[in-house]
Amino acid sequence: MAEEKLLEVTGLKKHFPIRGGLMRRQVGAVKAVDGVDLSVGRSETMAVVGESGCGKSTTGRAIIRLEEPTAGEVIFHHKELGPIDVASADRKTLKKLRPRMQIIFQDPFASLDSRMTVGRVIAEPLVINKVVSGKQLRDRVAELLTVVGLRPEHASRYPHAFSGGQRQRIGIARAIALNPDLIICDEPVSALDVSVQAQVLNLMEDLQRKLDLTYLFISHDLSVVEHIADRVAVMYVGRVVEVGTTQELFYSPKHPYTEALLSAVPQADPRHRTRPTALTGDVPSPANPPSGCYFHPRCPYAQPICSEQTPELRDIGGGQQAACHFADELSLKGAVVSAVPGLDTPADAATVSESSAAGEET
Amino acid sequence: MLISEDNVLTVRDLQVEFSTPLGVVHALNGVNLTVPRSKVLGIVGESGCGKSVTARAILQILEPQATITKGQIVFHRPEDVKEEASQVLSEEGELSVAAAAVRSGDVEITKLDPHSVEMRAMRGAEIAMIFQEPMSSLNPLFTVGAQIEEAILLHQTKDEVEAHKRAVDMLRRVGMPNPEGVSASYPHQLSGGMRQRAMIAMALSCEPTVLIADEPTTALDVTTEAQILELMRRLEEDIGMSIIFITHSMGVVAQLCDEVAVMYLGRVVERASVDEIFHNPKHPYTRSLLRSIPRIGANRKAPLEVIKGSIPDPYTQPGGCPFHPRCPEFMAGTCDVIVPLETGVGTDHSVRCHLYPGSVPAHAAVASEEA
Repeated sequence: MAEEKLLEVTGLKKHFPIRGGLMRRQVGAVKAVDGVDLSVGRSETMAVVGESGCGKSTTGRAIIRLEEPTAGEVIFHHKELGPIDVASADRKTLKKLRPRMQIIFQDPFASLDSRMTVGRVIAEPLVINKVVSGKQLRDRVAELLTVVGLRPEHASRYPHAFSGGQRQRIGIARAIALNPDLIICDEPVSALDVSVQAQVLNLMEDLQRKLDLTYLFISHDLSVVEHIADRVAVMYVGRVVEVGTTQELFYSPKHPYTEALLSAVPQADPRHRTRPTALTGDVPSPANPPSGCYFHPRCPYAQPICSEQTPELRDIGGGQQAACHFADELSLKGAVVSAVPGLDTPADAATVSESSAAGEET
Repeated sequence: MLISEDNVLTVRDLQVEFSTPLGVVHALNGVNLTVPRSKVLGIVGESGCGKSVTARAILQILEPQATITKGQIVFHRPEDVKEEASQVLSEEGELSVAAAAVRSGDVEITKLDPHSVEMRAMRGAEIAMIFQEPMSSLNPLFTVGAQIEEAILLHQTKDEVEAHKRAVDMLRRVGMPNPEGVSASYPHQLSGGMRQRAMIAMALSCEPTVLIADEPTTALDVTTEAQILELMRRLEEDIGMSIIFITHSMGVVAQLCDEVAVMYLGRVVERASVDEIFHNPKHPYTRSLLRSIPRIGANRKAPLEVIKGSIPDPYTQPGGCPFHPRCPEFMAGTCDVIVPLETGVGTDHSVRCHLYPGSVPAHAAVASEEA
C-alpha cells in the first residue's frame, strides 16, 4: 500500500428520495451508498467491485461531486492546497479541485458529444480551465492523441468515425488532458471487445506509470480487477463489506460474499469446471434492505446474530478489513488460478513479443 | 470434419448479405457448422463476426434487409419426435400433404419460406431461442405466465388449464422461487436474472430439440450468470437437448460447452472440442484471443498480450484471409490473396488458416505455381 494518501472517504452516503402520494412527499429513500469508507493512496489502483445496483458507480460519482453526497466526508489531498473536503467544498474551491479529478465512463458511445470533433472534445477541459490556447492548444491536443495511441490528424474527425476501443482512447485523452492526480474509471473496458479490452487496459497501466496517476477502478469483472488493481474494495447494497490488497482479497477472502463472487468467475479452462458456491436469491433492494448484515439471507454461513446485528467494517490484520461477524473464524475459499498449458510453450513466445508491440491501427 | 457424428443441425457454406444505404454488407461468408445431438456447441467471436446472424438465419428470423444468398441449413429431426410432431400438425389441419412429407426426416430450413406454416410450426417447438436482453424480449403488457402459456397453446395443447399447469411447472424447473406468483407477475416486477429464467422457461416449454441461446448471460452479473450456466447444464442433462450457446466470453465457453466454433468476420475459423480449443488452439486468432483475456493468477501487472488493430468495418473487408491484417503469422502473397479453406488438423478439429496444409484451393495452387 502506498504511504501517502490521496483520497480518504468516510461515511459517504447518497440517498435518492422516493416520492409518492398526492403531495409528492418523500415516502422513503433508495440508499444507493450508505456509509462507505475508503482510502486510496497516491499512485495506486484501488478497485471497487460488486454486482449491479451495489452502489459502486454512485460512490465514484459522489466522490467527485457529480452526485451531491447526502452525508460524509471526502478528503482529497491537493498538492498545493493541502487536504480539502470535496463533499462540502464551495464552488470556488471545487473549480480548483476539479482539474485534479477526472472520470472515464463506461459507454464510449454515449460519453463523447457526437456534434463535437475529437479535437474539441479533448480541448474542452483545457479551454474551460484556461490552461493553453491557440497554437499551444492544438499542439497539446495532438500530443494527447499520440499519447493514447491515435494520430494527430484524427482531431478533425467526429466520434462516429471511430470504433469502441478508439473512442475509449479519446475519453482517456480527455481525462488526462489536465494532468490530474485521480481518475475515476467507471467500468472503462466492459463495453469493449475482448481483443480491444487488452489494448485499453495496457494503455491505462502505461499512462499510470508515466503520469503518476491514481485510479479508482470500478468494475464487475474480477479477472480484469485482479490484473490491474493494487487493492480492492467489495461493495454490497451500498456498503463496503471487505477491503484488502488484491493478493489478500483474492486468495484469502474474509467475507462470505467475496468468496461467493470469486467462485462465480467463469474460469477460462475447460479442465477446471467449477461448481460455484450457489448464491441463492437476488441482491436485496437498497430501498428496503434486510435487517442486520445485508448479506445474511443469501449467506451460507449465516447465524442468528447475523439477522440481528449489523457487522462493522473492522481490521482483520495486515490492512485487510471485513464486515462480518465471523471474519476471524471462517476459512473461505479464494480464487482458482487458471492457466492454459498449451499456450506457454516456448514456440509461441516469439510470436507473443511481436504481437504485443503493436498498437491499434486505423 | 465433424460431419460423421450424430448431428441435429448442419449448416453448410451459409452466406448472408445485408443491403444497406451505404452498400452491401457480407455478414456471413460461408459458415460451416454442425450441432451435435444432446451437446452444447459454443459459438465465440467478437462483435460483428456474425454469431447472432447465424442464429437468426437458422430460425429464419433475419431482418428484412438480409438475404440468405447461398448455403444450406439442414435440421435432422430425431426419429421418435417425428411421429409426435406430425400428429399435432395434422390436428391443426393446415398442412398440405407435401408439407407433411417435408416433416419426416431431414428438413432443409433454407428451402422453407420464413412465413410458411412449416417454418412457424418449427420455431419454438423444435428450435427455440433465448435473446440477450430479457427485458426487451418479454412483452411488458402480459404476465410472464401468459407469455409462456402462449407458446404451449400454440404448439402443444389447446387446453388452457393444462397450459397454465405446464407453464408453472416450467417456471419451477428453471429454479424460480414461488412459481405461481411469478407466473402472475409482469416482467418489470422481476429482476434481470429472474427475467432470463422466465425466458428460458418459455423457450423450454415445448421441449425443443435445439435451443439457441444468444448471449443469454451478457447483461447479467457474474453471480447470476453462474446460476444461469448451472441451470443450462442441468437442463441439458435432464432434457437431452442440443444447445447453441453464443457468447464472447471465453470463460463461459470453457465452463459450459462441449464443442466450440470460433468465428471471425462471417466465417468459422476454427472448430473443435472445447478441450482442443483451449489446450491445443491452432488458428492464430484463437490463440491471440486466449492470450488477450486477463486470467486470475496469471501475469498480474504484466502487460496483456494484444491483437493489433481492430475489427475492420463491415463495408471494407480485407481480401484473402479476413484476419491477415491483424495476424502475427501473416505470410505475404498467400494470406492476403487466397481465402483459406477449412482443413482438418487432427481428429474432429478443423481450421481455416494457411499455416496448415490443405488450405489452398486446387485452382489457386496451380495459379500461384505458374506465377
